[in-house]
Amino acid sequence: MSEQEILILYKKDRRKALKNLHGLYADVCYMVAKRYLRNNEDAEEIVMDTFLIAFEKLQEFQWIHDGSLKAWLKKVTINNCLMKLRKKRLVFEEEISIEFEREDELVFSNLQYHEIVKAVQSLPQQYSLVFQLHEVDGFSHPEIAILLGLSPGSSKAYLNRARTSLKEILIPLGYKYE
Amino acid sequence: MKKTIEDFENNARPEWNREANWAKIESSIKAPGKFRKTPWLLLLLGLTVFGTGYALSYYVHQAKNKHSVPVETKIQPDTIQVIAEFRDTVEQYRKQFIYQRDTVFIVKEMALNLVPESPEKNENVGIAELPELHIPPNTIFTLPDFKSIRTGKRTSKPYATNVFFDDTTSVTRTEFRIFHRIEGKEWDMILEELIVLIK
Repeated sequence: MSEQEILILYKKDRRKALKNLHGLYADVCYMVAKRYLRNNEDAEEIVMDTFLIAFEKLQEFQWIHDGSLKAWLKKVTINNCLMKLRKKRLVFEEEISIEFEREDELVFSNLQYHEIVKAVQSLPQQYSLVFQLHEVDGFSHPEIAILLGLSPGSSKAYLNRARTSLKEILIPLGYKYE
Repeated sequence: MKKTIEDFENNARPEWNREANWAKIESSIKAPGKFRKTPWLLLLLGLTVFGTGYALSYYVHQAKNKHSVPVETKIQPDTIQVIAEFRDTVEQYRKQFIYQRDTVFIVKEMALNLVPESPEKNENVGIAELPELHIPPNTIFTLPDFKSIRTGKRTSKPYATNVFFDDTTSVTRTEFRIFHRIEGKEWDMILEELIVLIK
């Protein structure tokens, strides 16, 4: 069932529409949540929360094109993850970095998903979060600043350190930075 | 890196209990009333709490009023403690009470002027010596039945009304004595008018 069909079905039968939506995107949401939270149980809980929000809020969702519903669900998932992390009292300190690298995409040849995730998750959680939000999920620094309660400058500083740290982890393992 | 992650996550079939996850979600949304029931339950709870609080405050208020009864009981019903700001004539009383409706403010020093023939008025005897009966500010108590003074019988409710003392008021025993003395036809007449107006 396509996103559009699910949205049409939602107007008639919300439960059925949600079941289809869950079947279509629960795995993606689970993967995203697991990447952020590093924990299966927490990730499952986040998926539940995400779809319960979808059940209530889907009527407000403006469908633009195929994939926009998935993108929205991923955003809700990420927000839920951040809320969960906030409850765990993850502290960010304002960091000022003088030298910024160019923010072009970090590319390593032959690097697989699990290796990337493993490396990213080995970073301090603050670095890891900013890196994922910016490099993987496409949030801008002002957006990250709002999400994490930082200044955009600090968000850039965290990203800079995350990138430097990732290079330090991956290059000795033989991965070539392109 | 971004593409690798996105591609993998979009196509991943992770090992997790997706069915159980859906079952939990479904149980949360199954009862369509679940989300709607909550506000009603909260409203009901709120009303119950408010009702209980209101009832309690009402009974506390009633109880407090009862506590002011000793003031009333100390003052014998025959000792009419209705004193008005205006002192000279019956007419002035009447105007006062029309204006004040059922609220009577006592001004103690005026009480003496009410009874020109009273020896206390001229001699001002004993006022300073006699202990004052202090009535707490805003004390509410029921006036005695005025009619009973005239007829000698006590009928309880018909003429009962509340008197509010303002916070500057204290009533001396002297005043009570004076009023006790003036029980008579003339005073009765005044009372009769007051009764009609206060009712």
